[in-house]
Amino acid sequence: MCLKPGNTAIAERQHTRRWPINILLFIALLLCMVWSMCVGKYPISPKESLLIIFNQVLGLSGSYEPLTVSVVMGLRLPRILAAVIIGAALSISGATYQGIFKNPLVSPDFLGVSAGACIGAAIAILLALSSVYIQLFAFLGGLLAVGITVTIPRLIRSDSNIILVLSGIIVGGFMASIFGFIKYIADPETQLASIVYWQMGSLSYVKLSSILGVLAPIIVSALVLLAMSWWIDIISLGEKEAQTLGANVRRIMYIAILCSTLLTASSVCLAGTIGWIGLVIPHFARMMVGTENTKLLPAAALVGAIFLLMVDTFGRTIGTAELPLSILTGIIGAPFYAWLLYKQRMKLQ
Amino acid sequence: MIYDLKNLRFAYSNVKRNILDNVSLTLDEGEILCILGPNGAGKTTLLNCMAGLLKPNEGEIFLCGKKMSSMTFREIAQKISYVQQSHNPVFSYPVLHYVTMGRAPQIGLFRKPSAKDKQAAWDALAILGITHLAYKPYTEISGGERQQATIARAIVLEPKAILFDEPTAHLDYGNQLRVLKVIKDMANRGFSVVMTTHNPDHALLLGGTVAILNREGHLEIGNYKEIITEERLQGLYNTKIRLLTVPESTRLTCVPPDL
Repeated sequence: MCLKPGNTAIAERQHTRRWPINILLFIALLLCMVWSMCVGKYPISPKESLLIIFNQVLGLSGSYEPLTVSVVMGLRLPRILAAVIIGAALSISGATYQGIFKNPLVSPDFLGVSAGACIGAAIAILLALSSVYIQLFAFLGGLLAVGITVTIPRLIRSDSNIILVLSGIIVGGFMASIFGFIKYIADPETQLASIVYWQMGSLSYVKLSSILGVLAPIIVSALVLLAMSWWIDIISLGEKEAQTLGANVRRIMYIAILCSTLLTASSVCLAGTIGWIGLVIPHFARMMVGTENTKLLPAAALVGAIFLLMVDTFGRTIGTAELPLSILTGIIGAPFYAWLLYKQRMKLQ
Repeated sequence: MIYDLKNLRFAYSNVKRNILDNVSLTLDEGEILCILGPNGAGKTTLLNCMAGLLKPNEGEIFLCGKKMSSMTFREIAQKISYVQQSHNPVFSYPVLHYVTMGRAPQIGLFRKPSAKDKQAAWDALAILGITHLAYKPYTEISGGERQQATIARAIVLEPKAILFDEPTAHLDYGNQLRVLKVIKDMANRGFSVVMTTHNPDHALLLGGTVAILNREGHLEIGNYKEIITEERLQGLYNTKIRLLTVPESTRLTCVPPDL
């Protein structure tokens, strides 16, 4: 057997080199972080904030006002880091779900993962467990929810995109009721406030220590998904076709679902449920870099980080009182998604 | 010998009748095998068994001398390519990316295609003469072009055999003939080819071996000259089909009766 073509394609092989869009996005993200560090009710100059961070990281004692130091290190830095990490995690998670379920309509919210993780966290709070258990319960809750969501279409032997979305709505609705029940039985003096906090989604109370707690699972899951991103493309062709390409479909699906659920659950642990990002950002990133997950996942992570950071920064600077995050992501995300649907003329089957 | 199927029986769990009943066939290197049969006879089922997607209830398939039941999808995929009936992928991957996916059986789970894999994809595109489609989205090219891209993906790993499930379905007459020509080219390059078709003329055009699968799941196989007879075609399609030689051509042609 010989595959010896003529060199007809040499010219075309020099594919027009794309401007390295990920590098641009990364620079934009850094600029956003500096901007977010400076603005607020207590404005700080970029130079001063960066110097404070350097001094603190290196353990030097600079001559700065204690108030400035505590705003930078205690309030803004954790908040900025959390926005970047959660924005990236939810976007990678959403893009992965869309790829492996070959369905551009799903997201951590629509599959019920966020709601399930939220319930897991709430149960751990009800039982007065420590933060490690809250994280574990959130993960198990998210996994259980996505498990039920993908089982329903299998039970009725349907491969349709719409059925999977409906199944997510069923699970989401069910989870909402359970969550209502948990709120109903929670102790209003001690537990209710922190349970509602999970549900609302907010970056106001994020501490550096809680970021460190979820950093490892987020980084490991994200790296695993980035490493297998090419295979997500193959899974997105459908089970039979992936098998004829030699893919161990079940193993890849399990790894991908575990990792993206871990990403979502870790985000929920840090700041509660934040909607729309996992759905909208992958679509937006696809318009920028194309459909291939090898390019899409890193771009979606950067775009998601920039988006959440900007939304959160607007939320805390725009008015006298802080606007809750979920309100802003919805107000921006929903019309934006409608525009994307129009733009892509998405065909639904 | 590439394929050796021994006494296959296959039935779906929810249907009583046997789709395949005591089916045996062999396929040599560079051989073309056309499978004819009426709608619902089980042609696709037979291909799915040969691709390892379905397990026969009885009998054994040997692929390059190895028992298929003991092989993984990955091992099977390294030896054969399966072109399933055309479908619409959800995401519009560029054609080059789609063709590169054919290298998957040689790429590890946490790896991406190498420069060598990409080069192989370009070579496959060049063989099919569709390098100009490389960066077009797979979902936005015509049906004929899509079938060519799928064939490019099938040869990118240089398999022993390529299985085609109705490669001419949904194509216009010109594209059907072009795809058949490509399939014949592939056989001349040394790939063994198995294809199903609804059109006995396609089997006559390709020559080679022909198998007829009837509704009872029995398979008759032999050289196309022996197998394709008026009697068999009339029984198979329940229509008075004639086999005639057109004066201007030397080969037999199916002529349907007046309506």
